[in-house]
Amino acid sequence: MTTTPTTTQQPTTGRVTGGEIVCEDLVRIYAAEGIEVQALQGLTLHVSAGDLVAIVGASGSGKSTLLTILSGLDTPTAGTASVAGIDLLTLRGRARVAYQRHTVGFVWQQTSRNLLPYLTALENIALPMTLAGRERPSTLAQRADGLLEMLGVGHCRDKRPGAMSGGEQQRVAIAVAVANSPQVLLADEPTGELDEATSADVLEMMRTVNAETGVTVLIVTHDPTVSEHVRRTVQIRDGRTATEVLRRRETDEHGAELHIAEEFAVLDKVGRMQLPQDFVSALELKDRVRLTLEDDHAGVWRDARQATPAEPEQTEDER
Amino acid sequence: MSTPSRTRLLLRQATSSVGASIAIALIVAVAAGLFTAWPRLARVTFEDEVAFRSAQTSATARALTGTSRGDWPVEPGDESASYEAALGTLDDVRAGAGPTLRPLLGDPELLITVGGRANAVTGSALPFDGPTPRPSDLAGRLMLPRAIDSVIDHVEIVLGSAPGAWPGAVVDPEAGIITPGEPIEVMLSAATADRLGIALGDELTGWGPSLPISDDEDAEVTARVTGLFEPTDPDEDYWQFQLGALDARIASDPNIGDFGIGAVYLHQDSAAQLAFSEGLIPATDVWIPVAPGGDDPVALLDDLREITAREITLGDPDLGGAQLQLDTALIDVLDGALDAQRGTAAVLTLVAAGPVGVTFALLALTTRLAVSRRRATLALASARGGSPPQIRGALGLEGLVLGVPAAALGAAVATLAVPGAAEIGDYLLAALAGLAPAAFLAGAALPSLRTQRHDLSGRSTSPWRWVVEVLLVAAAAGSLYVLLSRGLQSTTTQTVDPLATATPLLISLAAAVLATRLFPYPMRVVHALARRRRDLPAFLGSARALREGGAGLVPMLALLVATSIAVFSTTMLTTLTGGVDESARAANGADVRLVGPPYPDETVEQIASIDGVAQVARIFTQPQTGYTVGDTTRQVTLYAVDTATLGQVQTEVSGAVELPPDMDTLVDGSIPIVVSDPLAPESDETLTIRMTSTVPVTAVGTSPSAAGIADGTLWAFVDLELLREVTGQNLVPRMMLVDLSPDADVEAAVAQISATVGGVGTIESVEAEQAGFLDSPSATSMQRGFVVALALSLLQCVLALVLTLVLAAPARGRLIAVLRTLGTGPRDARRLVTWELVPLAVVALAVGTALGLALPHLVVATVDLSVFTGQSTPAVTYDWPQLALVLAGVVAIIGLTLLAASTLARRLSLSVLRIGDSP
Repeated sequence: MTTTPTTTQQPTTGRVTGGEIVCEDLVRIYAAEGIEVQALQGLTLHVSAGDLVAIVGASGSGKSTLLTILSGLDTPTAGTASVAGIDLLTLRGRARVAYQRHTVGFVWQQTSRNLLPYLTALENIALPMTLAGRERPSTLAQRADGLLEMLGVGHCRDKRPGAMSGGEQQRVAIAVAVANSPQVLLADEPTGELDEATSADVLEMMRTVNAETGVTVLIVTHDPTVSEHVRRTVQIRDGRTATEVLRRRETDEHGAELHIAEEFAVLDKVGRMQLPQDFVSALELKDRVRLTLEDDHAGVWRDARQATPAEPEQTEDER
Repeated sequence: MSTPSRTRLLLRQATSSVGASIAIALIVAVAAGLFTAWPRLARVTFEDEVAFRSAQTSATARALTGTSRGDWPVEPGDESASYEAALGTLDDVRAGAGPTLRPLLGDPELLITVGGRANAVTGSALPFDGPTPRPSDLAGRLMLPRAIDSVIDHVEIVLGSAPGAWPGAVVDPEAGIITPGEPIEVMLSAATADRLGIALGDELTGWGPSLPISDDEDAEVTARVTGLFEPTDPDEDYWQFQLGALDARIASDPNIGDFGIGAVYLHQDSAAQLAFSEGLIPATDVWIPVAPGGDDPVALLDDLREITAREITLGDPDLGGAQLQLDTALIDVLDGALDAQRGTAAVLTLVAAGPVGVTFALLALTTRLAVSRRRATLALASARGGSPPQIRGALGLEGLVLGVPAAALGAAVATLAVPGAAEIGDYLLAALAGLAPAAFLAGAALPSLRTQRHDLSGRSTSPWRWVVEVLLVAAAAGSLYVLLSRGLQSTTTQTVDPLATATPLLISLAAAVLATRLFPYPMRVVHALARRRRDLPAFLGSARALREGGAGLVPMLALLVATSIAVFSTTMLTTLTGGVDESARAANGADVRLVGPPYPDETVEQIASIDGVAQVARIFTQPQTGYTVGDTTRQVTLYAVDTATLGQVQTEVSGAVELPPDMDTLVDGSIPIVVSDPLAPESDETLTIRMTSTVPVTAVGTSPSAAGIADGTLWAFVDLELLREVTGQNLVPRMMLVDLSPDADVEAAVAQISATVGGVGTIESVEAEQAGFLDSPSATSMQRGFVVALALSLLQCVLALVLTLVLAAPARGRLIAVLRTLGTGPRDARRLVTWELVPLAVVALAVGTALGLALPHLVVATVDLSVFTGQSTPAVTYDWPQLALVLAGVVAIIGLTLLAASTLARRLSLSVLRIGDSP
């Protein structure tokens, strides 16, 4: 289902309609000479428009693959994936180019993949706009300046990436990503090469962009501290989404600020979910489990026919 | 501060990595220059050769000459058939010549010679008597009356005056009688007069026609010598057309004595008056001098053919008139030159096709380098929304900006450096070279920002590559089949044959592709061997060569082409030289051939004793010998030879006569004889030959050919000494064949032989003919062409190797960085580079050598080489020592490149390993 996205754009850094990300049972298999790698094995993810979500996972969990698919650089093998209403499975040719121009923007971890080393910050931001060809040259510089100001790197306007610090480079990279007013901003390990203070700055910038422009932001990282800056964190394990953590700040009756984080297991369309590893190892769940339905919860029981895991001597002593 | 616009960004991108761009521009410029210079040089060389050959032809052979015998070109009393009218006809012919020929033609000349019935000794000269007694050494005197109007301009009258026109016989209609009237005035050269004993004022009688004055009296036409002349320039070409004009010719009859023949010159209008006589037979000689030169040999040839096809009638056509056609040896000279040039061009184009193809392959490689240098920009641009047409368009534009000016510059330099007219066809390849970078850049595979796993496979996984390779091999096989089944193609067509040119290139490509595909198999064996050893670079190098061998198609092709050219040119030269040698030997009959004066036995012994002479065979020829088989007698040419030594003297001559042993002893009282195949006796009939007596012979064999000795089909061989013995005649041979020992100094031996015979007669040696071929313009231009092609292809090899190393540098750099963290040293880095190139080079050299050895067979089977060697398919001869030398040279150059490259590899491979760097 491909619906034409509508964006409301105002001249400089106006608000856009954030795009909704819907992935259901997304599969990506890489086949090479005699080797088949299943990077994504049926991933389910829903990100509502204008949301700021972090995806956390160990290396090899498939998070980079997810990002590559969502940014239009790769095509999924099976399942459904749609961003801002555009179906990614059937994305070809000119539609793909339009998607990469106007629907998504992305920030990679290494500067070499975000910025061209021989162009200044202004020219780097101008590049996607020139490629898209929608902006008139007169308004182009204006818009670029506005973006630089918004991200606090206006002083880097005429500097080359080599002359900027890591944090400045990433902020310019964010500006490049949102140059064409995309509906979704994807970031792959944006703080991977930065120290803690700079990481916090960059994440703050992303929050600013999300708040000011309404663009949906999806950050992929293995750094757990990132999750403290975002409202929703999704954990990916073995090519599937496993658990989610929702954070919020509450003020209790004494006026103190409480940070509350709730962890959830992700449930897909058909009711499948993944038990956390510590649950499985604690109860030594294997092969089959029994499920019972209670009034307000469902229970998961080990198969009684399997041997009891408790120390045999103890039970005997107790008897 | 400025607004970044599209063009500004393009410019920034283009200038960001200029190295590859400069390389592309340089290659295009050099290639365009060479592509333009080659055909221009070929044309200039050809024109020089034609001018050289036509200047070497003698003036008489070069001129347009025509003769007619028996018919009068002039008639008396008719204005339209006068000498002037005849010259006018010739002037018209000259005016009607083609545009290329016209400026080279001189004034036409018309020579009328009057003679009598032909005689074996004195020709058609007319015997005469004169008051002054003839010299005592002459048995008789004869004269050749000639009439030509221009002779007066080339002589100086030393005595007397020039002859006036003879009014002709006087007719008295009333009396019905015709009287001779005045004697005809003639002049002759002072030397002729002296030799023949003629003085000024002498009246020469006895030659002319008789006119009946009355019923029983005849009066004859006489001539009176009115002038003696000396030529103003006895050496000029004018006199070459009328031999015997300046001095008397002596014809000797061995039985009677010497006869003196002199030319006497009449006034040109006198000749017409002699036309009534039936006893006088006219001979008309016409010539129009042709100057050497001329720009366009092909057009000149067409004009010559056209003018020589015309039938010219002089005189009165109703009464017969003299009909003649012009001919010139220049046609053959030009034809020969054209054939030689086309043969050379055919061979050289075959050779040049390889480097041309490799040039484009190098351009493709360089553009790949340029694209890989721009990887980051292109990937980023395409990921951030650059549509493929936008990006390819930008790349194509850059290619045009790089290629077209460079090609124009190269072509301009070549046009200025090589003088001559410019033809549009010269610039075709240069234009292609100028457009190639744009095509290659726009068609390159665009890099993607997506991370790729390079450890899974180094080879291209595109299925199209395999399809393209199969198509290529099929195309090569197909064109080879078509070329071979078409057979021998004579090189008379103007244009370069595309099939013959493309086939070697296709074969080279197919060989390179196959070599690349089959390269892993021996490599696996090497790798298995390296695995067992403790040497890291060998193991790692062989593993890398296995995995990444597919990327080496272009250097493989370049090396292959260079090697095959080196081997091919060497073999072609030795084949052609061998072909020339064989045909020269077959024509000559032996190493040295002496023909001319009688060679008495003492001379023969002297020659046999010269240093370097291995054997001598004498040959006595008697043409028109009666050979009787039973009742029938045929006229054959009898050769009495030294049968014992002839076999040895003619060992290397193909087609030599086969003589059985013991031909110098009588067989049943008769001489053994070997005859040609058509003369083979069918039954046991008596055979005899007629010498001064009839000699019985016995046929002991037949031979299909007798190269170097016998022409024609009817000949017979007997032993000279035996024949002398049996007939008692002193048969003195006038031909000798000399065999020189293998290590003899040919020049010294020939000089000594020449001194022994006193410089009389002709001495021809095979060595001289061979040297003549090697010095000929065709051979020198072919050699030069080979050398240029070889130098070029070696340069391309070097370039291809360097480019391949530079392309592989990033990946190698990362590998070496990892290895250095593990503790390997810089020496291993150099050895890794060596392992990258050496297996490739070894395979390419092997396949290239095989190809170079096989290609001459293709050339010999499809190109008509008779213009060089006299036989259309000479056998391919391999000179192994020379080939080994040439190959060693090629290997040395490539080895030097590898050495230089591996020392540079350290610089190329320096890199800092960073975590997370995109591969």
